[in-house]
Order: sequence, then structure tokens, then C-alpha cells
Amino acid sequence: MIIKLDTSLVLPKFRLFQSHLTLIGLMLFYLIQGCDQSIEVDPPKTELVSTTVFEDDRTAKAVMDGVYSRMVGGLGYASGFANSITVKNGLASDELVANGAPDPFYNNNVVPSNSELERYFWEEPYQYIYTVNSILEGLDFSTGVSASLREQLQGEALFIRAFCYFYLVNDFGDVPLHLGSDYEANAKASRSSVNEVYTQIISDLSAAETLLGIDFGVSSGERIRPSSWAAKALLARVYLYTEQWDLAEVKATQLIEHSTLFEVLPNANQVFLKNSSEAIWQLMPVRPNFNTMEGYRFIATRAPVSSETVSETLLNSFESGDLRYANWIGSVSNSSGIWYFPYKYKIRLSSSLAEYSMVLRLAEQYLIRAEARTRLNKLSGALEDLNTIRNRSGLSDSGAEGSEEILQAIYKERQVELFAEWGHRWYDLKRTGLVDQVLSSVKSQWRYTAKLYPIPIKEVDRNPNISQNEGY
Amino acid sequence: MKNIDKTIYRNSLFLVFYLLTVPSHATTLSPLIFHANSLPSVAVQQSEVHGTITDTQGLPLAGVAISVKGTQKGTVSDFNGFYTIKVDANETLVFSFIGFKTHEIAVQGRNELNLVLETDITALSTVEINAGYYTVNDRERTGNISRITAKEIETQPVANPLSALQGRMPGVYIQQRSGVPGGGFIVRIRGQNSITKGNDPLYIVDGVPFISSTLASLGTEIVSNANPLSSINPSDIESVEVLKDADATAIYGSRGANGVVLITTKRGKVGKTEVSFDFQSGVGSVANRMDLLNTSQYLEMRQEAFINDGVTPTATNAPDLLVWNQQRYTDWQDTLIGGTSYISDAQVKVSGGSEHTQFLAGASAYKETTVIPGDFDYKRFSFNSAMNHRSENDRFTAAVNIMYAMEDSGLPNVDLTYSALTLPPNTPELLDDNGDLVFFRDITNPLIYTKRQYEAQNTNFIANAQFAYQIFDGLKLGTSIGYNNMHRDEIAIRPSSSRNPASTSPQSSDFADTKVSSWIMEPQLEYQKTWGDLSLKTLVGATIQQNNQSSKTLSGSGYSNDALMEDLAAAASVTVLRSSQSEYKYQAVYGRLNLGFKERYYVNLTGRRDGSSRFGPENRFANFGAVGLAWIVSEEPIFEAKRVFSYGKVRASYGTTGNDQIGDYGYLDTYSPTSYAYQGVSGLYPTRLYNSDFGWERNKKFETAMDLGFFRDRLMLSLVYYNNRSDNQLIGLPLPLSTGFSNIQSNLNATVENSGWEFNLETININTEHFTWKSSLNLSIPKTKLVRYPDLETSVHANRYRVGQSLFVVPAFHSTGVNPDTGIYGFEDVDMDGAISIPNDYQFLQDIRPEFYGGFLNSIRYKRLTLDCLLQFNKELGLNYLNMFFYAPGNISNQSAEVLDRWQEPGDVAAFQKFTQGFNQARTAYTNTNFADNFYQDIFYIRIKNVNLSYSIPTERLPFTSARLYIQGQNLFTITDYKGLDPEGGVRSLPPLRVISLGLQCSF
Repeated sequence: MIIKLDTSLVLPKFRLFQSHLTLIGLMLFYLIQGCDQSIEVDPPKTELVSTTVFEDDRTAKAVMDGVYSRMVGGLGYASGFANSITVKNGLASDELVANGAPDPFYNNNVVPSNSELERYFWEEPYQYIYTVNSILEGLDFSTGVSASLREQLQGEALFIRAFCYFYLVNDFGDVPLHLGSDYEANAKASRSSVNEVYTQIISDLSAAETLLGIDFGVSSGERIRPSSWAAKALLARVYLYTEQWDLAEVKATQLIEHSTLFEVLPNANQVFLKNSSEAIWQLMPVRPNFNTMEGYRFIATRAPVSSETVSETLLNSFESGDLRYANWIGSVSNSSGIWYFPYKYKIRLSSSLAEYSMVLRLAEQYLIRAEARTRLNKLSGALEDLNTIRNRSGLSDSGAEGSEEILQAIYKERQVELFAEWGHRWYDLKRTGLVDQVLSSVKSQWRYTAKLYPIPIKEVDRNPNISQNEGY
Repeated sequence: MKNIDKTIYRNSLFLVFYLLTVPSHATTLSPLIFHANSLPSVAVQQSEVHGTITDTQGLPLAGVAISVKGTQKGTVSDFNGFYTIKVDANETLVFSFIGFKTHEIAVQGRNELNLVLETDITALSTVEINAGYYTVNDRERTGNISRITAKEIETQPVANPLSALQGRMPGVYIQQRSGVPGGGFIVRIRGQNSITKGNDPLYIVDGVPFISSTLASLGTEIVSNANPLSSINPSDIESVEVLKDADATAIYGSRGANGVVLITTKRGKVGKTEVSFDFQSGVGSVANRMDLLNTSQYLEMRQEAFINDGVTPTATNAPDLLVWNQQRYTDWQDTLIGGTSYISDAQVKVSGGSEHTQFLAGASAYKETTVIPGDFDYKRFSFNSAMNHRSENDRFTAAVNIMYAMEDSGLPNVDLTYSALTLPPNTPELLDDNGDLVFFRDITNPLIYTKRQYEAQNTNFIANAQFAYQIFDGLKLGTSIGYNNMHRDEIAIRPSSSRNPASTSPQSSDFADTKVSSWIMEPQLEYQKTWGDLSLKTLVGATIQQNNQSSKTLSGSGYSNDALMEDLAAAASVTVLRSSQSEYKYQAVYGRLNLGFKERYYVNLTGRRDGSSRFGPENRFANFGAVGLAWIVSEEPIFEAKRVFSYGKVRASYGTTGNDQIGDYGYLDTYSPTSYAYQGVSGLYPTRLYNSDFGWERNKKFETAMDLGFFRDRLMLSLVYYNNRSDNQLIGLPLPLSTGFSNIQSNLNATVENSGWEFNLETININTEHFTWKSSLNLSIPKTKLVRYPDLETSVHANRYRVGQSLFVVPAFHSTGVNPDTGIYGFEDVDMDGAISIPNDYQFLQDIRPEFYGGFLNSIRYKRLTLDCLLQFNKELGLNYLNMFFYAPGNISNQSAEVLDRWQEPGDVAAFQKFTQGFNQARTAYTNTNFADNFYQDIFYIRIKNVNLSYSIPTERLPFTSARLYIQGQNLFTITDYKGLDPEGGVRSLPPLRVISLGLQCSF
């Protein structure tokens, strides 16, 4: 091919080529230069980054509010609903009966892969523990949170940590004790002994007791945030469980004597109302159209009933004339039978809030002090406390004599006073050593190893330093 | 942040400006340029050549590309096969048309050149394959790219393009998880590279990256693993290319590790305006039934269970024995999943255009009902349009593609398959005389799910524009701009009529609204040049992409009437369940350099540097690259004769790609608002752990392959070995739950190897004028291995993986069968502590990866009849049918008839343990089988995946130019040793349906 060079034609073409090259060069330059910065993104608008959360009173408090909101609104652990400590541990003991599909808690046959156990008894409390540990660490570095709120939040965080470990140690025995949010260390931690966990609980509660307020001012008079009194109440229970009788008596006494805030109500039907003067700490229901989930779960509207009902053992434990039987037990029936259900909460569903979910209340403190006094051989004081609770329910003074009889009377009183609340019966049976004797007579499947639940499989599987409980 | 946005806008404005000005340059300056090129010599006379091009049957061929060899000049034949072109008398014309042999004819002064083009049955050298940023000639390619075209897709009655790929490509594993319309798929290209997540390939539709996971926030149970590709009408697709090795995927850098699926939609064709219609209607059903216990066997099982447990049946614990009718028998498979699904599909397309401008517009409507009782269906309306333009001087080209689809599905909330298998056979009527639901105490009435509807509307808009301008011969500047917007609106209602008055939650309905929009801009500069034996193809380009996603889920409750439940305004109270928003930015520069020598030696270098906002500030950028080599052995002079051995190529490639399939903001520790306020204050809770330094997962791919052709390419064999290693694994590292989280985004210093063999054999067995028979067989044998994992023993995966073993090895107890003395399953007690416990008694025996899979396709044409038949086969170890049944045999739940082979008295040797209904040792043993090897079995199946028989109607006396009548079948017949419903679908989900459909396609 012969090409005739015609400079007049080639030159404009060359110039064009040059100008294009310049443009392309510029374009690539812009792109590469812009590259580094233009993939920066702002944090998501629907989430907050931790460093900003603890620089502001409102957001810092919102993290603590988030814990309460999830506890009561989450349908698990502390909710009072089907998978809560109240229901599941009630089933595991001898006070509630499962009516729907077979329930492994009721049958004392919970396996390590049980998803309710994993989700609601293990993961959920540890999520709160992570949250409160983050709060404690965040407040340590924060400069933006006011001093009074800082104390309040530190106190609440320590209280919630102790609260969660209390149930963990009672449900599982030795548990990993995480006091910081470093997941790498926590992921390799082994189980701490029951004693170590209790030591931590007591130390957290004692700190919370001084940090927290002595009234309900921070929540506008509503008893829905833990106060110094909640810390004392839980401390009294912990001293009872760890058999430090004198300390248990001291703490319970502080509450009982603080009559400006707390009193045992004469009418059993008023106990579970919101901010009742028996309440030391209540959780405020958060789901629209609901009051407490206990009320929603337990109150049966027609027979046959598929939710949990009261066992015969419990029904038979009420003395005749006990107003609690009349006031706190409900029933439905049809041609094939009658079903009794816990009726402490009266509202199943309602859009106006009248009842809050009770966590800690004064009646328990009387029974704690009665038991501690019996152990300390202050028998008349013990009977006085026991009778306060009995008389309120229309029963005459207890006829028990001698420390052993009084002790038995107190256990029985706890059974009928605290049923369907936070698994009290289950923990009482275990801490008093009566569990094998009592449960083997009513539950054919009972094994002594069922006292502790298995460590969930995802924990054992993912942390080689975690051992399993006996029998699983 | 403002400055950064400015940078982007500046860049984009600059580009837009530049692109807008380019065409004006073209018009003002092009006469000069055109002249410069077309004046090679004054010595030769110019003349006009014309002619008609036909096929071997004498029919005119429209759209044949006629070019003047060695120049940019060219034209296209019109609808009558006629063309004219101006040439110099000594030049040579090249006639090429996809599917036909290319001809070169020297003009030699002639004015008329008529030509008959022969079909090129193998057409290897004429097939241009889309490699994403460039196209490559199949003969010369250095990488591994599989492809199917509209021709294969149209033979299959499928709603999702992914099912059209099944069994047709080596190395591409596709599993349909559910037969529910709009249900899900699992797609793995060459195995699983990542230990836990991000194993989806990168999907690109007409140059626009397409999300791979569903936007569904509700209804995830019924449409689990749903793939958004369902919003693309399969018949709008021109071709699907799957890029597999490093050579093909490295140019996609950080997103190429799991392969790339390129979907190209149809374009208009040159010729008279053609209108075509396609109507199809079909029926679908569940092909197989499980053999379950009948009423007398079932009642026998229940009674035996009570006797074994020493428990007395009562009206409470055994209504099936004491309350319900003992004679009643229903096979719930017939009632609940035994219906017929009706499918109808109508399409219309108009296409045509001149030599310079072509267009296409199409619309389609698709409707599929379900096999479950109730009025449920899935509908899709889609619109597709395309416009292509080439300027008079051939320098400027523009293509615009716009696609819009709306999917509308109304389904029950939950798949009824599990109920169909487990509902006791003597369960009473599920509806009472008034048509209201009957509620039972121990079992759930499955029809409540049919009252709890899940409705979803999905809209998908994709637009893409491509402009290119040829600056001078060989140098082309182009850009592709794309936009995708997807929106899913969902409602799930739980009306009071569906709730058990005794226990379930109050009436409520959930509303979810999820949006994703993404835009992408990719300017690119290409240069091609040939110097004698040496040819060079090169390109550089850049990508800027941004995605925004937002999602809200609201819940309403307290409706006064069930009829109002789809109106959020009618709810007494509204709660925000979830609200999220995220942003993703991505930038990259990429390039390719391809050198060919003597048309037989090829080197292909590709690379990409990219940056993604998904990573911590320290690790945002990374480089990826690959080298590919090919040697076309058959072009060597010693093979000149080419009698038997007609084509031979050896190729190899090595390179790196990456994976960034993790959520956005993974490096931040964040707090999100809680669902409910506490004392009027909205709470916060931690949602993510902090890890600032996680970065890319790197995947090193090696491949070597041999492509051979024999007997003039009538037998084509390709043999591939690949070995991919990915390290720096980017995973949601599982954490012990006591840390407060179940996982953390993190790089794991472990290496996973995926290797395997792939075979593909294509033969033309018979090829005469009236009869052709072609076959193709593909086979993939994948292998996966955990090569390295430092400190595995003390890690979270200590009980999950073993170095040197497959990634799919499942830790399980080893079953020792039923103990003849106790009648209870026994397991090997590895640590000899007398108890069977996790993880101490686990053994690593069960490898559940696919062992091999493939397809065998036969296409036969006899005169006007065409028959295509695809057999698909697969072998893997999988969960067996026992896994379908949650409760131990003996409980109030039906079972497979297999359980009759059970232990009854000491000494019995049986496959199944004794029946039990309570909580006892037998129950614990049954629970242990969930973690034992008796739950796995070898699953092998061969299925007639697809048959298509079509008849092309003679149109001489009809007002059509072509007409075709066809009958198609999908999942027609399966041979398997699997005892469950279907070896392919999920264990408890509706199997892929058997579909038979009839259709008519005509055009005029």
C-alpha cells in the first residue's frame, strides 16, 4: 500500500490526538488522585460509633436504657414470657406445669444444644454484661458525661453485671467471669468458680450501693431503675445464698426499716401494680398494647390451656384461708377439666399501663431476714418476720417451734409467696439441698445432674478452655 | 466529607462534559479524518460493489457484516440479504456472520458479488466471547470462560436465569433450594473459597454490578436464599458468560475471587422491523412423594411408644390415640403440597433497524401459581429496551439499555412441606364447617400459614449507556455508565383468624421497605495494533461505584378488623422493628495487555488496583493481577495437514483476585437503637465489635488447560485442572457467646485450597442437511482442603475443622447402630468417659462437599423438528431424609415408613431404635443423631433436567416469517437412591417442581 503523506491533513489529526491525550491524562490523574479520599464513607446514619456514644449524657444514658428495654421487651431472659427465667425455672422446679409441646425444662432434660437455653439463659445475659462492661470502660475515658450521671450509670452498670452473674452462677455453676469488653481475652477465658463469681457480685453490688441514688428521683419517682435499695436487696439475697446470715440480716433490715419508701401492702391485689410501695425494682413494659408479659403469658382465657399452669404440688401447699390462693391463682375449665394459672398480674393485654414487671420486692426481704435470723438463732425475730407475710395474706401466726420447724415454715412460705416469680422455688430447692428429695418424688425423670443446666454447645464448641457440666 | 463528595462530582462532571463534547469533535473533525484514512492511494479506481447473501437453503441473510479488509470501512446486509459498499478494485471483502463461516473475497474489479454462506457448526473462531471489559475470540482466549446463549435459555421453562445454567457448565455448581416461586439458589463457582461467608459470584448485568443476596427482610423462611436475579426475564438475555480462572477474573480485582457472571441482554438486529410473540403455558407439580406411615402403622407406632415408655396415653398427651378418629387417613402431602401450579408466560418483542441504528423493545408477563392450597401466586412484568447507534463514519458508537421489572408475590409465610410430612395421618379436618381454622393443642394447623400471607413487591430498574469514540485507527475511548435501583416492599400479616385464641400473639402485621441503588461509571481507553506477526490489544480503565442501601421494618398491631391489616394507618400502634442505612464506595483502575504472535502464541496480562470503603482505614487498597498464556499448537507448521487433529490449544493462567463480600462498616463498633423506648427514651445497644485492621481476602488462582479439536472440530475436548488458594480469610469469626457476640468480622490467617478437574466434550455426531445430532458432556470433580490454620486447636474452630481435611467435613458422633439389648442408638465413646458428649466424642468423618457433578446434553434436529435433552447428575454426601423429621419416632408426628424397621424386644437387630414419646434416654439418643453420622447419606442422582421438543411450522401460507411450536419439560424424571422428597432441594423445603409447558413462538 502506498501512503501519500499530506502534512496538511496529518497535522490537525496529530493535534487532535494530542488534545485527546491531554484530556485522557487529566482524567486518569483526577481519578487516581481522587481515589484515596472518595472511598471514605460517613458512619451510618442509623447507628452511632462507640467513641461518640459516651461523650454525651443522652446517648450514654440511652445505652443503659437499651439494657432495660431489651430485658423487658426481648421475650427471653427477664421478660416474664415463655422463655424467661420466671417460666423456665418455674417449670424446672415443682411449681409450674407445661401443657403444650413437650418441654425439656419441665422434663429436666435440657441438652447442650437447646436453643432457648443458649439464646435466653446464656447469650442474652452475656450481651448485657458486654454492654455494661462497655459502659464502664466508656465512662472511664469519657469527658463529656456529667459527674452525677456518671455515678448513676456506673452504679446501674455494676448492678446489672451483678444481677446477670447471679442468675448465671445459679443456673450453670462455674461460669466465665468477664469484667471487660476485650473479646479476644473473653473468648479464651475459662470458667471461674462459684465462689469467685459471688465475690465479684458482692463487690459490684457494694460499689453500686454507694454510687446509686437513695430515692427514685432519676426516674421521676417511678421504681423502674435500680437504686441503692435494689443493690441492698440483691446483696441481702446473695448473702443468704452464700450463707452469710448476719450480713443478710443487716441488708434486709436496712430495707425493711426504710418505711418511707417501702411497706408490705395489706391487699395482695395491689402488690404488682406499677410503683407499688412493695416494689424495690420493677421493669416497665415497653411493647405497645401489652402490660407485663407474665400477665400475657399466664392468664388463660379458655380451656384447654396450652401455656404454663400451676402444679398440684403448689396448689396443695396453700393453707386453707390463704388469700393468696384466692387472689393470685386463677382458673378456667371446660367439660374435661380445670386449669389453674398464676394470676399475680391481672392484665393480659391493655393499651394503658397499670402493672409493671416485678423484679425485687419487700416481701422477699422479710423472708430473707426471717431465714437469716433463724440461722442466727434469733427465733422470735424470725417468727415476727414470717408472720408479717402470713398475716398480710389472712393467715394466723405460724405455729412452728424450734429452728428446724421455723426453717421449714419459711421455705413453705417462700413457695406460696414467691411462686411464678424469677424462679425462686427452683433456686430455693437447690440452695437448701432439698432438690433431689423433693423433685424425685414428683418427677419420674429427675437426675441429680439436672440441678445445673449444661453449658450451651456454642460456648463449649468455640472455646476449648470451657468444660462441660457433669452429666452432659 | 464535603470535599470528598466534591471530588467525585468534579470527576463525574468532568467525564460527562468530556463525553458530551466528544461527539461534537467527531462531527466537526471527522470529514478530515475520514479523508485521511480513505486516501491510501490515488492509483486505484474506486467502485461500488453490491450483491445478495443467502444461506445454503437460499434464504436471504440479513445482518451479515461486510468489511473491507485492513480498513475501518464496512456495512451490513439488509433484510433481503442485499448490500452495497464502496471499495477499491484491489481490495478484499470479508463477510462474517455469527454461526456461519467467514469468507474473504478479493474484489478484483467486479461490481457484483453474490455469496452463499455455509453454517459453521463449530464456529470456534467466529465466536466472540464477552469477558466484561473486552471481548475475546474463543479460539484465542487465554482464560476460562463458559457461556450459554439465548438459544439454550429459550429451551427451558424457567423463571430464574440461574436455573437455565444448571448442568450446562463445568465448574459451576447451582442448587435450587426450593420449588416455591421466587425461591432460592446456591451458586458456587469452583467451590467454596471462604470459610464462612461471601461465596457468591459477582453478577454483572449489562455492565452494572447486581446484588447477589435478596432484599427480603420478612418472609425469609419461605423464600430463603432468594436471588434477586429472578427479576430478570430469562428470555431478555442474549448470553451469560461465567468467568472462572485468574486470567478472566483478575480484572475484577477484589470482587472476582468467586467468579464473575456476566449477563448481556438482547440487542436490536439490522433488518426489517420484526415483531415476535411467544406464549407459553405450563403446569408444575411436586414429582415425588415420600413413603410415610399410614394411619394403622402410625397408631401402632404411637401405642408402642407409650408401652415402651411405661406411660399411659391420655386425652392430653395422645389425642391422636384417644380423641381422633382411628380410621381417618389423609396423605397430607396430597393436601398440602400436592396441588398443581399453573404457569403462563407471554412475551412480545419488536426489533429492527438500519445499518447504523438498531432498536429493540420487549415486554413480558409471567405468572406462576403454587402447589399449596390457597390463592397464592408469583407474577412478573418486565420491560426491556435497547438502542444501538453507530455514526456514519463508524467512529462513534452509542448503546443504551433500559430494563424494568416488577415482581409481585403473594405467598404463605412458611413453607408447608414440613407439615405435609409430619402431620399425623389421622389428624381431623383442618377447617370447621364455617371454614374457620381448627386449633390443636400439640400440633400446629398448617393452614394458619396460608392465612398469614406474605406479600412482596420487588421493582428493579437497570439502565446502562455505553459510548465509544474511535480517536484514530486502533485507539478507542469509551465509557459505560450504569444505574441500578431495586426496591422491595413487603407485608406479612398475622390476622386474628390465624391465631390460636389460647396462645399465640395478637393480630399484627409487619411492613418492610428496602431500597438499594447503585451507580457505576467506567471510562476506558482501548488500543489495538498489528505489526506483521505481532498483534497488540491493550486497555486501561477506571471504575467509580457507589451503593446506598436503606431498610425499614415496621410492625403494626391493634387493628379493628382483619381486612384492614395491610394498611399501617389502621393500626392502633406502630413500632419500628429495624431501621438501617449504609453506604458503600468503590474505586479502581484496571488494565489489560494482550500480545499475540503468529496467531498462535498469546500472552494476556490483566490487573486492577482497587479500594473499598468496607475496610478499615489502614487496609483500603490492594493490587490484583494475572498472567495468561496460550499456545495454539495446531497452528504450528507440522500440523498443517490437520486431517484428524484440527485444533489444539494449551493454556495456563496464574493470578490473584480478592473478596470483599462483607457488610458495610465492618470495622466500626457501633450502637443501634433498640426496638422499644424505655420510659419514653429510645435505647441503644451495641451491634458490632471494633476491628480496624481487617483487609482483603486474597485468592490465588492457577489453571492449566488443554482444548483439542478433531475431525474438523466435530469433536471438541477440553480438559482443565485448577488450583485456587485463598488466604487472609475474611470471615465472621464465630465467637463464644459469652463475649456478647456470636461473631466478629476479621481476617483469619488460614488457607483454603480448592482444586479440581473439569471436562467438557462436544461432538457433532451426525450432520446432514436434514438431520443433525450434537452432544455435549461436562463433568466437574471439585476438591476442597483446609491447608493451613495456625493454632487451630485453641481457636474457635477447634471442633469444626481439621488441617488437611475438606472444609466440608462435619464433626459428628459415629453411630454404632441400635444396641440389641437396650434398643437405643449407640455411639462411639471416643474419650471413653462413659458419656456421649460434644465435642469430645466427635469424629471427622463426614465430608459433605459435592464429589462430582455435570450434565449431558443432546440436541437432535430432523427437518423441522428439534429435540434437546439435558441430563443432570450430581453426587455428594448430604443430610438424609431422617433430618426432615424433628421428633423422634413415637411422638405425635408422622414418620417415614422406614421407621417400621425398629427395635421391639431384646435381641432385635434393627435400623431404628425403639419408639418413644417422652423425655428419656432414647430421646437423648435421638437428639444425638442430629450430630451423628446416621443423619448423612451418599446422595447420587441423575435427572432429566430439561427436554425441549420444537417444531418449526412452515410459514409459506401463513402471515408469519417464522413460527415455532414447542413443548418443554423441566425436572421430568429422577433416578436416585435418596429417600426424601428430592435430592436437590433443601431438606425441609418444597422440592424443585416438575414443569411441563407448551408454547408457540411466531414472528412477522
